[in-house]
Amino acid sequence: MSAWLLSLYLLGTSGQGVLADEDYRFCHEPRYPLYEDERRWCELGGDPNPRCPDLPKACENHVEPGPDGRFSGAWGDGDGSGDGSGDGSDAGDGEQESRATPPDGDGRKARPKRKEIELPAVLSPIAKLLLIGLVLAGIALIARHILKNRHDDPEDDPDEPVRAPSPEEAQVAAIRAAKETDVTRLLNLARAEASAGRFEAAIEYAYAAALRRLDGDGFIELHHSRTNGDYVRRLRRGQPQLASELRGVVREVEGVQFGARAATRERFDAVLSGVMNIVGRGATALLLLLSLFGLPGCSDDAGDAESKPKPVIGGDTSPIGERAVLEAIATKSPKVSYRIEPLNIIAEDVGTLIILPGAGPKDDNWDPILAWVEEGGRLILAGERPTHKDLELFEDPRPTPYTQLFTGYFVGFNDMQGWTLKVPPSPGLLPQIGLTEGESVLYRYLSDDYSDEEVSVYAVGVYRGEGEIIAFENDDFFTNIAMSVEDNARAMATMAHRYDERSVQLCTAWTGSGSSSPLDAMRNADLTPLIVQLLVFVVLLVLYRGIAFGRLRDTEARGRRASVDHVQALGSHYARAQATGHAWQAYAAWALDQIDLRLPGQRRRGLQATASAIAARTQWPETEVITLLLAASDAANRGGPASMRGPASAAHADADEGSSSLHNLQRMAAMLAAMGPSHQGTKPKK
Amino acid sequence: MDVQELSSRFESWVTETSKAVLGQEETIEAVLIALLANGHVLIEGVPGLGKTLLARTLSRVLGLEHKRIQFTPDLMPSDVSGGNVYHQKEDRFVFIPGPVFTNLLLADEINRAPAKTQSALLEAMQDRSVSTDGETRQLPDPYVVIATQNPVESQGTYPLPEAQLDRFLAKVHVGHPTSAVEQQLLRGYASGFDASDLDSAGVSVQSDADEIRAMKRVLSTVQVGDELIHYMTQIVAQSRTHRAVYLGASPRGAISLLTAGRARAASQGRTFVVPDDVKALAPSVLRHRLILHPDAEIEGVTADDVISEILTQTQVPRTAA
Repeated sequence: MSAWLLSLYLLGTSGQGVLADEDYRFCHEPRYPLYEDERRWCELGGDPNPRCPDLPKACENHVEPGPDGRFSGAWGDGDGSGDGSGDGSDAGDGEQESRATPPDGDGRKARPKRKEIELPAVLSPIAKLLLIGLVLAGIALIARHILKNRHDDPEDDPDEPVRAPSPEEAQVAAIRAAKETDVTRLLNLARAEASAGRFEAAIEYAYAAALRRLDGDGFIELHHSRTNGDYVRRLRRGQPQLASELRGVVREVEGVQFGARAATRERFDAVLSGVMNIVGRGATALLLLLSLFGLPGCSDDAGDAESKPKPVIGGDTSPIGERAVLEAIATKSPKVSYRIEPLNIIAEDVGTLIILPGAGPKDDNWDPILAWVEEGGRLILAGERPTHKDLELFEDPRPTPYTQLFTGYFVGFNDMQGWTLKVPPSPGLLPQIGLTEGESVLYRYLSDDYSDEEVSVYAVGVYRGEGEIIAFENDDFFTNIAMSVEDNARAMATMAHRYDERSVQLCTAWTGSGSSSPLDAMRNADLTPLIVQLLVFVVLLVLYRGIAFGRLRDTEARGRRASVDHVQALGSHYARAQATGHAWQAYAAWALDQIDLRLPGQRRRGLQATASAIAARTQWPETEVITLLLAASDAANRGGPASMRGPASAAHADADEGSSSLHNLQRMAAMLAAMGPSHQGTKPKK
Repeated sequence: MDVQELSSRFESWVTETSKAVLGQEETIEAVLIALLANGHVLIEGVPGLGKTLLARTLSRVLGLEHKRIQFTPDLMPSDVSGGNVYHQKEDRFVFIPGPVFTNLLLADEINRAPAKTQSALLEAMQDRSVSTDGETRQLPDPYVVIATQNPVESQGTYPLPEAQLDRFLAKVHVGHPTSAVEQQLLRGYASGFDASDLDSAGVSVQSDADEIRAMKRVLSTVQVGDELIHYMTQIVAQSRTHRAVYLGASPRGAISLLTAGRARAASQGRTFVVPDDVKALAPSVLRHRLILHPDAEIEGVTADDVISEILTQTQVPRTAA
């Protein structure tokens, strides 16, 4: 509060306040590099300059821009902190960037130029053909699917006789309809079913609407495996009141669904009443949430507006930026801001519009602005040159060597008599806006004799209706560096100020880039054709698939690991658990099955006969085979369920038989390999 | 008696049992539902969690005659079922009933006895009768076995046979109490509670055998729709085809799910079973009936994991999702 009052006082006396901020580096860094265009202001501020203390030193410091017109290297006060905008990103090319440059740092960072991708000329027709071909192919594909879908659907076949659906089909249709996910449609379906006397279906629809609402609000997550009790318990954790209401509904619904209670009008009404409570409460909670989110956004306006000035949002702090202009205006007119909205509709609470070069209506439609002026607005054209017949400005080619401005008698300027206002020399304007004779509100003399006829008008004003139009020769006066000169800042504040507390808006090239509605945004971004195409595509897709779009509700299928991973993991577990014996048990059971497959019926004849058959087939010693078979049989018998084993037997068995189990396993694998493949499944040769 | 009366009586059981067994409401409800469904319960938990206290408190609350068998490795089948003893004075064999002849049998640490002795309970649990020397004797009604076992200690224990496991309607896990419950527990002991003296906790008798028999009759009036039966059979069928399962739930498991579902519905004052009953009871009713493949066990898969996956995959009847 006190700082703001101090700045207001300083502005009132010298204009120092608005440039006291360290962000205005051209005022606080002696080695700040200045362009020639900016140096025009050096002599005007004087030396010393209490409003911009280091500007005189910066003016003495001739830092030359590089060949590309940009400054390079550190030019700060030696701590390396001031090189921010000097390297490689200046507003360069030898001339100042336009005022449209978006604020960034102190504004001397220029927008990077858009890099155009240039394709060889020969590629252009090919690319066009490819694009057209792709679009046509896509359309043909979709059309084919639609036709196929319709052709395959017997219900659409005109030759098919129309028949009444069977009860089963009606049930299927009801189930399909039950998958409807839109709450409003579900409620409508419920009411429709109730009016048709089908109260059981109506109750189901109503209950589905409640669940869908809760799901949509994020209180529960619907899943086909979840029961009504699951939903109630889920709600009870965070929304006990809602859980209680849902439980009441569930009791009624389940009574009808599973308890064979009669589905009556009274029961449906009770269910619907409970459902509406839930649906309404969900919406209320959502609104409350949105309101809570909205509160911080409103807090700036709802705060202690009288105790502190409204901060100016954004703004460029470079010499040719306009943040100091806004701050100067804000000292007398707290409601000051950049204008983002287009100029086709101007609200009644706007008192002054300052239009910088290039910020006027793109289609030269100045009529809404003129209408606003006639109703009491003040339009300031800061170098903007409209082509509208009522606003056309006539230039005075006579140059003037003088910088001192004198004020005429015009609303807003009457209080400036005797103030010292200065801008660099420039040609002037004729005191005329359109065909209307205006007042010379700011002017300079062309010669030393101060003759009234020999003046160059820097700004001219006319009255129109209840408002005023003031046109400036250029936008020099509306720069940060201009605010460092004599009484310029006071004059800026006085000129823009309206006693009725209406707001002041500064129009830049960004004005109108915002949109008042999503449709405007779409149109402004030239996205209408794309969006229309996407919508058409979506409609076609809906026609093709015939399903509602939405978030996938199915749980993701757990990916099956590669078999080798599974085997390795299992092997490592066996090894870690020292369960070689267990592995041998499992393998033995499998191996015996394999032997059965390869020697069908042999095992029924006994172990001896099986061993003989294997020995004959593999040429292995029969004693080794029978030993192996005995070990495998014993292991397989021990490999059953836990209850079939003795108390705590497995661990001891593993410890004792670890090495022999591994040996047996290897020998069994070798024996199976020697036996060769199974012949099961092949046709016996006759 | 109707369902509403049954429900209020059930609530009083839970409230009264909770006076002595703190922080185990879900376990108490699960055990009581099993008892109401005329089933037997296997309570599993590490030592010191109040399994025996729970069984003793229930017997007090339900007003049933109860006996306790401490299962040991040298326990013989006749120690459970009883046997014929020669009566010198009368010069004939006289049957001396074993502890199994009671309303509520607490089989403490049942897995410490060998399978031979455990099997002595098979007929008693299934047919509620005991056959000795060619004579079959009926057990009193109601007859309920509450068995406890410790899952951690494996030395000198014998896993229960699958046939006997299947005869338990539910297997209930008892977990550690929360810190707040434990504090409440200590305060109770500090103010004079004695686990061996239920009077010190103010546990009073709430029912008797006649009332429990009447309540069981009420269960038969609880409706079970075809969709629910389909839901139950789907769950049981999937337990047999799950990749991690070696042996799935038996038809007795499906029947247990049905009866337990009815008991739960009635305990909540409903005259019909809803999917929530089935889903809530499936873990305790099915977990001990599943035998997993050894490789699944080694990978750390448990029966509860399998049941949870089955329940997630099975569509609930009449769901809006």
